[in-house]
Amino acid sequence: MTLWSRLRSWFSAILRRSSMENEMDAELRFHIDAYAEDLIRAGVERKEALRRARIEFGGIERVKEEGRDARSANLVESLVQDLRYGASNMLRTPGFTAITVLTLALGIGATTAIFSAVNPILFESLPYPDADRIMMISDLRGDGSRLDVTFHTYRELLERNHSFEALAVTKPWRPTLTSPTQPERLDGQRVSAAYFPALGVSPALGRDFDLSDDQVNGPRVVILSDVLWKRRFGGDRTIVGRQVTLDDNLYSVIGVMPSAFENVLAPRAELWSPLQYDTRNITSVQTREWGHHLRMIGRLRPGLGSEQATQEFDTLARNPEREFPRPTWALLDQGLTVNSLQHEVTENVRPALLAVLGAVLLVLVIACVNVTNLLLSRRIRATRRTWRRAHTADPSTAHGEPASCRDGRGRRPGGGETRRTGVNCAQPSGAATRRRHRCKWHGARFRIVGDHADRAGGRIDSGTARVPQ
Amino acid sequence: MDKQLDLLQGTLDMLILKAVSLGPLHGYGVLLRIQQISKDRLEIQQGSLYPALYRLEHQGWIASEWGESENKRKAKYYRLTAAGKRRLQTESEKWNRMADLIAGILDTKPEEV
Repeated sequence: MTLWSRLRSWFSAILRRSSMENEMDAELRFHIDAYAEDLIRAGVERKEALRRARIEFGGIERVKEEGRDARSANLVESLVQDLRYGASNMLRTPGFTAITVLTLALGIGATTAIFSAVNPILFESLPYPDADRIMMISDLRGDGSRLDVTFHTYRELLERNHSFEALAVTKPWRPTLTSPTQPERLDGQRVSAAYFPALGVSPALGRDFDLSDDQVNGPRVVILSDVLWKRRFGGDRTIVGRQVTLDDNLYSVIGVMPSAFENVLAPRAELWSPLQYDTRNITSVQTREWGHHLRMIGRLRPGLGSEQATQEFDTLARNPEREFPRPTWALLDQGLTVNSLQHEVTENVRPALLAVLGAVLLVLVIACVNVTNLLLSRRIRATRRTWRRAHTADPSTAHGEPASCRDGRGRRPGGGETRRTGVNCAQPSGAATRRRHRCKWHGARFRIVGDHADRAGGRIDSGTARVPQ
Repeated sequence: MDKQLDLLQGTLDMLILKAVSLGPLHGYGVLLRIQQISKDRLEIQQGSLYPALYRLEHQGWIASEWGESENKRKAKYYRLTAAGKRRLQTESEKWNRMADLIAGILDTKPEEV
């Protein structure tokens, strides 16, 4: 059946609330009228008939309430009721509440704090557009460990590969900025022309490097970071085109990076200048161009994965071309590795961060266990108290309120003839507390608790039957 | 003096399903039909009928639609669904088995033990 009919019933209960109420009204009124008419036909006077019909029907409001319950239309109401009950419970025991809240707050707070610190590194992608396409490429030693690439290897891969739309190499650079005020040693990077395009960023002010900048003996140009620009040049927008002195050479400032730019490969770098390595002389091996000292990154073409790139680079590594001779220390005979930049920059800290996250999660679990223990011990004490009261004093004052159900409003259903036969409000379920309140409303009606609660959707069925003599 | 029987939990559902299985009925009609079948030996408390009807409808065992009553008034009629028919069948079997069992136990005489 019945999932569908239940869902439909819920939806109609929520969406067609007022029409459902009207229908219920009409239906119950029809019942009472029909019964009254029958009574009139049997010779009862009209007014008396209506009165008796109403009385024998029982409380209309109560029937409606149970009708709504039966259709689960009262989900929201019972939720609100539970919340209210919970809140009043908490206010009754402020000490207990304070300790519980504090414990949970500490656990949750610590977890949240650590998670917010760890999240950008472990789980969020790098702060670049399509960051998952940015790869880092390394040479491999004979033992499988990674090795920086040489400039000529980069040149060969740049010429031969089809997987990357941009490939770039970089090395650290520590120039000294001299000015009338004070000289300062700065962290920076020498980069090939495609470095910023590979990351997917471009200067906020001025222009990016182009190929004519990145040539041996090329122009001395520099791009500044936003921080350096503001600190040393007061954020002056006319900086582009001006000259600054770095290591006793004059460099033209051609651009300033945006303030939001984060340089994960060299977080402290404040200025960038073209690499300007010599692309000729590939055969002379005693040059810096054949030294393993460059880090290489690349931006994959859209739709390609790192596996395809790895495969292609493997093929390139194992099939040297006459045009690109290799010295013995850069034969690429171990192949190349292609890894996402994200993986590369977090690789070393990942285990430590995961350990910290795990530890703080354990703290949260401990906090939860403590609160559970508190609740358990309180429950046990309450049970013991109830038991003692129930066995020493008048049973009607005992906790659990069966007495209130028995007394109720004192009005009996079905007119004068029906006699209540039994009351049982004791319920083992978790909803016992709320039900206990409800019992009060049901006052004058007997109810049977049975093993069919499942069929009633957790509700208690009720009814009376009598056998006339 | 009235003698009152506790209607065992769940039996009201079964009686309603049975009453409705004999033909579509409005709520009051269900009440009358049960009384009539029981030859007036059983009387359902009127109000308690409706929550049971709504519950059965919610569970998909009966379906309702508005129609016109004998005296030309709008009334909501309930009929048994296919699922309700199966439900009634299994419930009846269960009930009969249980009743036999209990009756058997209660009829036991000392010499039979």
